Amino acid sequence: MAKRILFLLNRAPYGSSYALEALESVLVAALFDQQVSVLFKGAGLHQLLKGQDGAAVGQRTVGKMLGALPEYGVAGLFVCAPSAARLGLTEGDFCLPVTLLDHDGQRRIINEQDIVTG
Amino acid sequence: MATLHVLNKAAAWTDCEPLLGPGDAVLLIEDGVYAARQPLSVDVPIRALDPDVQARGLSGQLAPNVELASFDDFVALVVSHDRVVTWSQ
Repeated sequence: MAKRILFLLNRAPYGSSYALEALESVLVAALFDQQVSVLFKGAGLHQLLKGQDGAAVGQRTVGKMLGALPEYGVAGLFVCAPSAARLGLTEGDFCLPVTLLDHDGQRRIINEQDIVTG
Repeated sequence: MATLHVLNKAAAWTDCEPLLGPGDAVLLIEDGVYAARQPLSVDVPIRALDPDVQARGLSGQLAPNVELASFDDFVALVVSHDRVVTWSQ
């Protein structure tokens, strides 16, 4: 029975391996046909910026990997609206279509999950 | 459909607090217990893991609405909630 899993991603890419490792977990969960959603919060929004080039620092490009999520069946791609406002980012800055959520919306999504992980 | 919010960093409180809902609870662990030195004005139960409080010399210095928790309490809290969200930044 598929589990509803929400990945709460709040780390910037490249400065540490957190973002890449979490993203790999998202892809694995999706590969195993779990009901996977992702909520980007705080510094995690930087993973969504266009024009990333991980090769410049000898790393894989997180933004490009994110582009694969829809093909893996990850339907729920959410962004914390207050974080976006605080960071001065809008949907036009992001490398894939996302749904902006206020705190109430995020609470609703969290309460629908079986598992919330990072 | 209650959620237990576990914080292991004090600064994570700013991300956690707006997402607290009715029936939820907060458990401060590791460096998260430093958040309990100021009053945390929310109406959900807030617990702080006693060993982490003792280790950091904070015994007796926690905000009045924060209750200490043992490791057994930690387990009981996890079991009595539908899901756990860990805030680590």
